[in-house]
Amino acid sequence: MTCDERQELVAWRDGALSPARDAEMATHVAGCTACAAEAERLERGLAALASLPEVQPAGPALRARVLAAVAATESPPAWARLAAWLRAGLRPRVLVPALAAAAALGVLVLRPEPAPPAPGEPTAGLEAVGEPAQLEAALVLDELEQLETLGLESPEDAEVVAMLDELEGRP
Amino acid sequence: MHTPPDEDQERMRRVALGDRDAFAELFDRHQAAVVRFATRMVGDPARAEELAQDIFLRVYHAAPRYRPTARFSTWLYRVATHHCLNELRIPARRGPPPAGEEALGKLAADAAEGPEAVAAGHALAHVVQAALAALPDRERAAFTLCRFEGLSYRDIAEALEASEPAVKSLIHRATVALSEAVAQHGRDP
Repeated sequence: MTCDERQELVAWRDGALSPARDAEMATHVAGCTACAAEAERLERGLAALASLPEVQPAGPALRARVLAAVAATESPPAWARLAAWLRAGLRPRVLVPALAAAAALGVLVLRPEPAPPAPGEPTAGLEAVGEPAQLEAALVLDELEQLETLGLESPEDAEVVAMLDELEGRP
Repeated sequence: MHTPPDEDQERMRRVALGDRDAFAELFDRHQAAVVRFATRMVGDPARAEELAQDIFLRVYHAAPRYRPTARFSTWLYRVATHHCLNELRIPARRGPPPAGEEALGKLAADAAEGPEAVAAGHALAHVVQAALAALPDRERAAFTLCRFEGLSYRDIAEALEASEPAVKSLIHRATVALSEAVAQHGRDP
Protein backbone atom coordinates (compact mmCIF):
# COMPACT_ATOMS: atom_id res chain seq x y z
CA MET A 1 0.00 0.00 0.00
CA THR A 2 1.11 3.59 -0.64
CA CYS A 3 0.33 6.61 1.46
CA ASP A 4 -2.42 7.47 -0.92
CA GLU A 5 -4.25 5.63 1.82
CA ARG A 6 -4.40 8.96 3.63
CA GLN A 7 -7.18 9.88 1.19
CA GLU A 8 -9.34 7.43 3.07
CA LEU A 9 -8.25 8.39 6.57
CA VAL A 10 -11.31 10.56 7.18
CA ALA A 11 -13.74 7.93 5.88
CA TRP A 12 -11.91 5.31 7.97
CA ARG A 13 -12.15 7.51 11.02
CA ASP A 14 -15.88 8.03 10.31
CA GLY A 15 -16.51 4.29 10.02
CA ALA A 16 -17.66 4.72 6.44
CA LEU A 17 -15.54 2.01 4.84
CA SER A 18 -16.45 -1.59 4.21
CA PRO A 19 -15.42 -3.99 6.99
CA ALA A 20 -12.61 -5.44 4.86
CA ARG A 21 -11.26 -2.03 3.89
CA ASP A 22 -11.63 -0.80 7.46
CA ALA A 23 -9.42 -3.64 8.65
CA GLU A 24 -6.84 -2.91 5.93
CA MET A 25 -6.73 0.75 6.94
CA ALA A 26 -6.38 -0.06 10.60
CA THR A 27 -3.39 -2.28 9.84
CA HIS A 28 -1.86 0.33 7.54
CA VAL A 29 -2.24 3.24 9.98
CA ALA A 30 -0.65 1.18 12.73
CA GLY A 31 2.43 0.74 10.56
CA CYS A 32 2.66 4.07 8.67
CA THR A 33 4.16 7.03 10.55
CA ALA A 34 2.82 9.62 8.14
CA CYS A 35 -0.73 8.30 8.19
CA ALA A 36 -0.68 7.86 11.94
CA ALA A 37 0.41 11.48 12.39
CA GLU A 38 -2.23 12.69 9.95
CA ALA A 39 -4.90 10.65 11.71
CA GLU A 40 -3.89 12.26 15.01
CA ARG A 41 -4.05 15.72 13.50
CA LEU A 42 -7.50 15.05 12.05
CA GLU A 43 -8.66 13.77 15.40
CA ARG A 44 -7.43 16.91 17.20
CA GLY A 45 -9.18 19.11 14.67
CA LEU A 46 -12.42 17.20 14.98
CA ALA A 47 -12.19 17.20 18.76
CA ALA A 48 -11.95 20.99 18.65
CA LEU A 49 -15.05 21.17 16.45
CA ALA A 50 -17.02 19.10 18.93
CA SER A 51 -16.35 21.71 21.63
CA LEU A 52 -17.90 24.55 19.63
CA PRO A 53 -20.84 26.38 21.15
CA GLU A 54 -24.12 25.25 19.69
CA VAL A 55 -26.20 27.41 17.41
CA GLN A 56 -29.39 28.25 19.25
CA PRO A 57 -32.73 27.40 17.68
CA ALA A 58 -34.83 30.26 16.37
CA GLY A 59 -37.18 32.08 18.68
CA PRO A 60 -40.99 31.88 18.60
CA ALA A 61 -41.22 34.60 15.93
CA LEU A 62 -40.09 32.19 13.20
CA ARG A 63 -42.73 29.66 14.21
CA ALA A 64 -45.39 32.35 14.18
CA ARG A 65 -44.35 33.54 10.71
CA VAL A 66 -44.27 30.05 9.22
CA LEU A 67 -47.61 28.98 10.67
CA ALA A 68 -49.19 32.28 9.64
CA ALA A 69 -47.96 31.79 6.09
CA VAL A 70 -49.38 28.27 6.07
CA ALA A 71 -52.70 29.48 7.51
CA ALA A 72 -52.90 32.07 4.73
CA THR A 73 -52.45 29.30 2.18
CA GLU A 74 -55.49 27.67 0.77
CA SER A 75 -56.00 24.07 1.76
CA PRO A 76 -54.62 21.61 -0.77
CA PRO A 77 -57.02 21.38 -3.71
CA ALA A 78 -59.31 18.40 -3.88
CA TRP A 79 -57.25 16.70 -6.58
CA ALA A 80 -54.10 17.00 -4.45
CA ARG A 81 -55.83 15.55 -1.40
CA LEU A 82 -57.11 12.68 -3.56
CA ALA A 83 -53.61 12.08 -4.90
CA ALA A 84 -52.22 12.03 -1.37
CA TRP A 85 -54.96 9.62 -0.28
CA LEU A 86 -54.16 7.31 -3.18
CA ARG A 87 -50.45 7.38 -2.41
CA ALA A 88 -51.22 6.43 1.17
CA GLY A 89 -52.44 3.09 -0.18
CA LEU A 90 -56.13 3.54 0.55
CA ARG A 91 -56.81 2.83 -3.06
CA PRO A 92 -60.09 2.71 -4.85
CA ARG A 93 -59.83 0.84 -8.13
CA VAL A 94 -58.23 3.48 -10.33
CA LEU A 95 -57.00 3.46 -13.91
CA VAL A 96 -54.66 6.27 -15.00
CA PRO A 97 -53.95 5.95 -18.73
CA ALA A 98 -52.23 9.38 -18.74
CA LEU A 99 -52.21 11.19 -15.40
CA ALA A 100 -52.31 14.68 -16.90
CA ALA A 101 -55.01 13.77 -19.38
CA ALA A 102 -57.07 12.14 -16.66
CA ALA A 103 -56.78 15.26 -14.49
CA ALA A 104 -57.78 17.47 -17.42
CA LEU A 105 -60.77 15.33 -18.18
CA GLY A 106 -61.63 15.03 -14.52
CA VAL A 107 -62.54 11.39 -15.03
CA LEU A 108 -61.54 8.38 -12.98
CA VAL A 109 -61.90 4.91 -14.46
CA LEU A 110 -61.73 1.93 -12.20
CA ARG A 111 -59.37 -0.98 -12.45
CA PRO A 112 -58.56 -3.86 -10.08
CA GLU A 113 -56.27 -2.94 -7.22
CA PRO A 114 -52.75 -4.39 -7.57
CA ALA A 115 -51.77 -7.15 -5.15
CA PRO A 116 -50.14 -5.88 -1.95
CA PRO A 117 -46.34 -6.30 -1.73
CA ALA A 118 -44.98 -9.43 -0.07
CA PRO A 119 -43.50 -8.94 3.41
CA GLY A 120 -40.02 -7.45 3.19
CA GLU A 121 -40.55 -6.13 -0.31
CA PRO A 122 -40.79 -2.41 -1.01
CA THR A 123 -44.21 -0.91 -1.25
CA ALA A 124 -45.31 -0.76 -4.88
CA GLY A 125 -44.77 2.71 -6.22
CA LEU A 126 -44.49 3.42 -9.87
CA GLU A 127 -44.47 -0.33 -10.57
CA ALA A 128 -48.12 -0.42 -9.53
CA VAL A 129 -49.03 1.94 -12.35
CA GLY A 130 -48.66 -0.90 -14.82
CA GLU A 131 -48.67 -0.29 -18.56
CA PRO A 132 -45.75 1.51 -20.25
CA ALA A 133 -47.79 4.60 -21.11
CA GLN A 134 -48.97 4.91 -17.55
CA LEU A 135 -45.43 4.43 -16.23
CA GLU A 136 -44.06 7.06 -18.59
CA ALA A 137 -46.68 9.58 -17.55
CA ALA A 138 -46.03 8.84 -13.91
CA LEU A 139 -42.26 9.24 -14.37
CA VAL A 140 -42.71 12.60 -16.06
CA LEU A 141 -44.96 13.82 -13.28
CA ASP A 142 -42.56 12.45 -10.69
CA GLU A 143 -39.69 14.38 -12.25
CA LEU A 144 -41.74 17.58 -12.41
CA GLU A 145 -42.76 17.20 -8.80
CA GLN A 146 -39.18 16.69 -7.70
CA LEU A 147 -38.06 19.77 -9.65
CA GLU A 148 -40.75 21.89 -8.05
CA THR A 149 -39.97 20.64 -4.56
CA LEU A 150 -36.28 21.35 -4.99
CA GLY A 151 -36.91 24.85 -6.34
CA LEU A 152 -35.82 24.25 -9.90
CA GLU A 153 -37.91 25.59 -12.73
CA SER A 154 -37.10 23.00 -15.38
CA PRO A 155 -34.85 20.08 -16.25
CA GLU A 156 -32.55 22.67 -17.83
CA ASP A 157 -32.09 24.18 -14.38
CA ALA A 158 -31.01 20.79 -13.11
CA GLU A 159 -28.44 20.61 -15.91
CA VAL A 160 -27.13 24.07 -15.02
CA VAL A 161 -26.85 23.01 -11.40
CA ALA A 162 -24.90 19.93 -12.44
CA MET A 163 -22.55 22.05 -14.58
CA LEU A 164 -21.96 24.48 -11.71
CA ASP A 165 -21.16 21.55 -9.47
CA GLU A 166 -18.53 20.41 -11.96
CA LEU A 167 -17.01 23.90 -12.13
CA GLU A 168 -16.80 23.92 -8.35
CA GLY A 169 -14.68 20.82 -8.60
CA ARG A 170 -17.19 18.31 -7.35
CA PRO A 171 -15.59 14.90 -8.05
CA MET B 1 -35.53 -3.43 1.79
CA HIS B 2 -38.93 -2.37 3.05
CA THR B 3 -38.64 0.28 5.74
CA PRO B 4 -41.58 0.79 8.05
CA PRO B 5 -42.88 4.37 7.85
CA ASP B 6 -41.52 6.72 10.48
CA GLU B 7 -43.79 9.02 12.46
CA ASP B 8 -42.84 12.06 10.43
CA GLN B 9 -43.78 10.31 7.21
CA GLU B 10 -47.19 9.74 8.78
CA ARG B 11 -47.34 13.43 9.72
CA MET B 12 -46.58 14.37 6.12
CA ARG B 13 -49.43 12.14 5.00
CA ARG B 14 -51.72 14.08 7.32
CA VAL B 15 -50.35 17.42 6.11
CA ALA B 16 -51.21 16.36 2.55
CA LEU B 17 -54.77 15.88 3.69
CA GLY B 18 -54.89 19.41 5.09
CA ASP B 19 -53.85 18.77 8.71
CA ARG B 20 -52.04 21.94 9.76
CA ASP B 21 -51.49 20.67 13.30
CA ALA B 22 -49.42 17.87 11.82
CA PHE B 23 -47.37 20.46 9.96
CA ALA B 24 -46.84 22.43 13.18
CA GLU B 25 -45.58 19.20 14.79
CA LEU B 26 -43.12 18.70 11.96
CA PHE B 27 -41.95 22.28 12.32
CA ASP B 28 -41.45 21.95 16.06
CA ARG B 29 -39.53 18.70 15.67
CA HIS B 30 -37.18 19.88 12.94
CA GLN B 31 -36.87 23.66 12.99
CA ALA B 32 -33.78 23.67 15.19
CA ALA B 33 -31.92 21.34 12.82
CA VAL B 34 -32.95 23.32 9.73
CA VAL B 35 -32.01 26.66 11.27
CA ARG B 36 -28.71 25.22 12.50
CA PHE B 37 -27.89 23.78 9.09
CA ALA B 38 -28.84 26.98 7.24
CA THR B 39 -26.78 29.06 9.69
CA ARG B 40 -23.70 26.94 9.06
CA MET B 41 -24.27 27.21 5.32
CA VAL B 42 -24.78 30.95 4.94
CA GLY B 43 -23.02 32.24 8.07
CA ASP B 44 -25.75 34.77 8.88
CA PRO B 45 -28.34 33.77 11.52
CA ALA B 46 -30.97 36.26 10.34
CA ARG B 47 -30.68 35.08 6.75
CA ALA B 48 -30.69 31.49 7.95
CA GLU B 49 -34.07 32.04 9.60
CA GLU B 50 -35.45 33.46 6.36
CA LEU B 51 -34.17 30.40 4.51
CA ALA B 52 -35.65 28.11 7.15
CA GLN B 53 -39.03 29.79 6.66
CA ASP B 54 -38.79 29.22 2.90
CA ILE B 55 -37.77 25.61 3.42
CA PHE B 56 -40.69 24.80 5.67
CA LEU B 57 -43.13 26.44 3.30
CA ARG B 58 -41.68 24.26 0.55
CA VAL B 59 -42.26 21.25 2.76
CA TYR B 60 -45.87 22.26 3.29
CA HIS B 61 -46.57 22.79 -0.39
CA ALA B 62 -44.77 19.56 -1.34
CA ALA B 63 -46.84 17.44 1.02
CA PRO B 64 -49.45 16.34 -1.53
CA ARG B 65 -46.65 14.97 -3.73
CA TYR B 66 -44.39 13.68 -0.96
CA ARG B 67 -43.44 10.01 -1.21
CA PRO B 68 -41.78 8.28 1.75
CA THR B 69 -38.93 6.67 -0.18
CA ALA B 70 -36.45 7.64 2.56
CA ARG B 71 -36.63 8.86 6.14
CA PHE B 72 -38.46 12.17 6.34
CA SER B 73 -35.45 13.85 7.96
CA THR B 74 -33.23 12.82 5.04
CA TRP B 75 -35.74 14.24 2.59
CA LEU B 76 -35.99 17.44 4.63
CA TYR B 77 -32.21 17.84 4.57
CA ARG B 78 -32.32 17.33 0.81
CA VAL B 79 -34.84 20.18 0.44
CA ALA B 80 -32.83 22.36 2.82
CA THR B 81 -29.55 21.63 1.05
CA HIS B 82 -30.95 22.45 -2.35
CA HIS B 83 -32.52 25.66 -1.10
CA CYS B 84 -29.33 26.84 0.59
CA LEU B 85 -27.14 25.91 -2.37
CA ASN B 86 -29.51 27.68 -4.76
CA GLU B 87 -29.44 30.74 -2.52
CA LEU B 88 -25.66 30.76 -2.53
CA ARG B 89 -25.60 30.59 -6.34
CA ILE B 90 -27.29 34.00 -6.60
CA PRO B 91 -24.40 36.49 -6.75
CA ALA B 92 -26.45 39.37 -5.37
CA ARG B 93 -27.28 37.33 -2.27
CA ARG B 94 -23.87 35.81 -1.87
CA GLY B 95 -21.76 38.64 -0.44
CA PRO B 96 -19.13 38.08 2.25
CA PRO B 97 -20.61 36.66 5.41
CA PRO B 98 -20.79 39.10 8.33
CA ALA B 99 -17.67 39.13 10.47
CA GLY B 100 -17.36 39.00 14.22
CA GLU B 101 -20.12 38.30 16.68
CA GLU B 102 -22.82 39.09 14.13
CA ALA B 103 -21.81 36.06 12.09
CA LEU B 104 -22.11 33.76 15.05
CA GLY B 105 -25.33 35.33 16.29
CA LYS B 106 -26.88 33.67 19.23
CA LEU B 107 -24.23 31.15 20.12
CA ALA B 108 -25.27 29.63 23.40
CA ALA B 109 -22.84 30.30 26.24
CA ASP B 110 -22.43 27.74 28.98
CA ALA B 111 -23.12 29.58 32.22
CA ALA B 112 -20.77 27.23 34.07
CA GLU B 113 -17.75 28.32 31.99
CA GLY B 114 -15.49 31.14 33.11
CA PRO B 115 -15.04 34.23 30.94
CA GLU B 116 -11.67 33.05 29.60
CA ALA B 117 -13.11 29.73 28.48
CA VAL B 118 -16.07 31.48 26.87
CA ALA B 119 -13.75 33.86 25.05
CA ALA B 120 -11.56 30.98 23.90
CA GLY B 121 -14.61 29.11 22.66
CA HIS B 122 -15.81 32.15 20.72
CA ALA B 123 -12.37 32.67 19.21
CA LEU B 124 -12.32 29.06 18.02
CA ALA B 125 -15.85 29.44 16.67
CA HIS B 126 -14.73 32.44 14.61
CA VAL B 127 -11.88 30.39 13.13
CA VAL B 128 -14.25 27.53 12.29
CA GLN B 129 -16.86 29.83 10.77
CA ALA B 130 -14.25 31.56 8.61
CA ALA B 131 -12.86 28.21 7.48
CA LEU B 132 -16.39 26.95 6.72
CA ALA B 133 -17.13 30.07 4.70
CA ALA B 134 -13.98 29.48 2.64
CA LEU B 135 -15.07 25.97 1.61
CA PRO B 136 -16.76 25.39 -1.74
CA ASP B 137 -20.51 25.26 -1.14
CA ARG B 138 -20.96 21.53 -1.65
CA GLU B 139 -17.99 20.72 0.59
CA ARG B 140 -19.50 22.93 3.26
CA ALA B 141 -22.87 21.25 2.86
CA ALA B 142 -21.39 17.74 3.09
CA PHE B 143 -19.21 18.68 6.05
CA THR B 144 -22.06 20.35 7.91
CA LEU B 145 -24.41 17.43 7.36
CA CYS B 146 -21.70 15.05 8.59
CA ARG B 147 -20.13 16.91 11.50
CA PHE B 148 -22.98 19.01 12.83
CA GLU B 149 -26.08 17.10 11.80
CA GLY B 150 -24.68 13.58 12.25
CA LEU B 151 -25.85 12.16 8.95
CA SER B 152 -24.28 9.04 7.53
CA TYR B 153 -22.37 9.24 4.26
CA ARG B 154 -25.25 7.40 2.64
CA ASP B 155 -27.84 9.93 3.85
CA ILE B 156 -25.58 12.81 2.83
CA ALA B 157 -25.37 11.30 -0.65
CA GLU B 158 -29.17 11.28 -0.70
CA ALA B 159 -29.34 14.91 0.46
CA LEU B 160 -26.74 16.10 -2.04
CA GLU B 161 -27.92 13.79 -4.82
CA ALA B 162 -24.35 12.60 -5.16
CA SER B 163 -22.60 9.24 -5.04
CA GLU B 164 -21.10 7.99 -1.80
CA PRO B 165 -17.55 8.15 -3.21
CA ALA B 166 -18.20 11.79 -4.11
CA VAL B 167 -19.45 12.47 -0.59
CA LYS B 168 -16.40 10.75 0.84
CA SER B 169 -14.16 13.04 -1.19
CA LEU B 170 -16.09 16.17 -0.23
CA ILE B 171 -15.95 15.36 3.47
CA HIS B 172 -12.28 14.40 3.30
CA ARG B 173 -11.25 17.72 1.71
CA ALA B 174 -13.40 19.77 4.04
CA THR B 175 -12.23 17.94 7.15
CA VAL B 176 -8.56 18.31 6.20
CA ALA B 177 -9.02 22.02 5.50
CA LEU B 178 -10.80 22.66 8.79
CA SER B 179 -8.39 20.54 10.80
CA GLU B 180 -5.53 22.60 9.34
CA ALA B 181 -7.35 25.83 10.28
CA VAL B 182 -7.87 24.61 13.85
CA ALA B 183 -4.25 23.43 14.09
CA GLN B 184 -3.04 26.79 12.80
CA HIS B 185 -5.20 28.57 15.37
CA GLY B 186 -3.68 26.41 18.06
CA ARG B 187 -0.18 27.42 16.97
CA ASP B 188 -1.06 31.12 16.55
CA PRO B 189 -4.11 31.90 18.75
